[in-house]
Amino acid sequence: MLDSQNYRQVQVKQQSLSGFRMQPKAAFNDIVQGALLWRVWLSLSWQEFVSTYRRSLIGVFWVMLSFAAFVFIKLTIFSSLLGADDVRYYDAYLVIGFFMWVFSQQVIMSAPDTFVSSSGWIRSEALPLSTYIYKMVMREIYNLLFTFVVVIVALIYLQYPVDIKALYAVPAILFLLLNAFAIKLLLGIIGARIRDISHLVKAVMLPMMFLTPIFWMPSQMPNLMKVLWWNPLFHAIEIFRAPILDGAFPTESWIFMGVVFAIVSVSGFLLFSRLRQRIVFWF
Amino acid sequence: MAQIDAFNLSLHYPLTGGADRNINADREPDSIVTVGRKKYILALRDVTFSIQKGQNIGLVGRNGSGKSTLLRVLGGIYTPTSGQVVSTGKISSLYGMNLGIQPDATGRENIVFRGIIKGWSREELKERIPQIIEFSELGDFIDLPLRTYSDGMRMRLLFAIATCFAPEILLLDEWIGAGDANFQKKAGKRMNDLVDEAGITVVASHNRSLIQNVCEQGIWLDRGVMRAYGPIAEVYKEMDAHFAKVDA
Repeated sequence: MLDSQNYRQVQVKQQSLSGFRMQPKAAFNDIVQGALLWRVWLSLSWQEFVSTYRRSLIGVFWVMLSFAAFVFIKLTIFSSLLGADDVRYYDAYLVIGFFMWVFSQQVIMSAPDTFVSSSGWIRSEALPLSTYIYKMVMREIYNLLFTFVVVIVALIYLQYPVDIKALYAVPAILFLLLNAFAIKLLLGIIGARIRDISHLVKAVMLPMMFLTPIFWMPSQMPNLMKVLWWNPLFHAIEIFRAPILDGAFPTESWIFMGVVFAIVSVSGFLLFSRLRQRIVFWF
Repeated sequence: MAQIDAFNLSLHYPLTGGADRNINADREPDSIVTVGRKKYILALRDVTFSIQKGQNIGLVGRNGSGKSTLLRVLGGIYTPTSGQVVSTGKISSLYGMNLGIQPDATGRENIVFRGIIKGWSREELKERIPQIIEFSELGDFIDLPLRTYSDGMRMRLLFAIATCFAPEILLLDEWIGAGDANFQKKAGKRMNDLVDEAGITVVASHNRSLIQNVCEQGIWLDRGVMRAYGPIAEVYKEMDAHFAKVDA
């Protein structure tokens, strides 16, 4: 890729004006070539992550601290408020669920800005557009790693017994990162074209916090869950939470998320196939 | 062996984000076309040229004539609506001082980012960083964040990075305005060196003395149409004659 980028025969193909000209092969190439540019997205994402905290005293540890403070307050308030039968179980449920919630929320809320926030690079470097998606996913991973430390500390503090089956959470998180890529691809394109999407997504995500079982358990509200079962965020959290919490493999949620991934990735890819060369004109 | 061939390049720049509603296409029949419900600016119209190795091209024309658009098409950033560009040679480009940088990162870190994007290895980076710092004359400022730089300092750094690995094709957009006379001279020399080594540079600028100093050839764009391509003095003569008539 790098070779062909620096020394190349630019064969610029015709771009259609208003017809539906799909270029799935070029779109696929873009995603592959972007992955090969790992040095670019690793260094850019890390610099952006660090620079958020650059001039602060404790730096990136604010990520951990703010999450830890939130967890601590939620534990003290909610575990007594809801009067759960098994306090330790509930506390672990809340910690893991909230960890996954913060991750999911960040993935979705920042998705419409995927390309917009990189517009300076897009307008000046002929890199595959997927580079900027990888960059955004990497930033989610940094946050994930830092906050996960808090989860581990909390579980140790709670002395919560964790089964070997908790390792089912590993494929779950990898699959969720794949989902994150697909969501950023889809919403990144839509959000670059229609700027309201970014605000809409943020407005929707706020109430979703309460419509997703994080602070309350599905067993506490069986009637509500009949409707909320269709909330994809529930399943996204469940495939990670259930293995650690119950040593279970939530087949139903995995299937649900598989369907979600199929829909998001296929529609994202189709949009990308059609609009890839247009995105640069939208900034 | 650098070469750029453009065949019948046209580019319809889509108007989006409300801009399409605010403009009346009927009042600008020369520049705006409506296809279906969408409006486009005719940024380039049927532009054809062939640039050979060892040529320094000055892109001239008034604001909005398509100079920057053409540079971005040559650099592979914009895909033309029709026509094609075939080019041979390592491309290095500089489209603006605020693009393709991380303002919060230091000058040194920005060298690394751009180096990585250009595909330099660790060793190449190590070797080139001192050269870039020296050419840009930034001294200790290199370890300060880019947002603290003046326009001139930023320009010097970006130009040093863009030209340090001897690109075969160099695309520059309005780059020199910010540099002082001394640096302009140095930059002009580097561009000439590049062309002497059978490279190509294409510079878009309104700065006539700069263009005349650096470029032997010129392309005059007017509302996306290539009006002239040839020795720079003749291109300017034609352009002046045209606008003298139009503005009168």
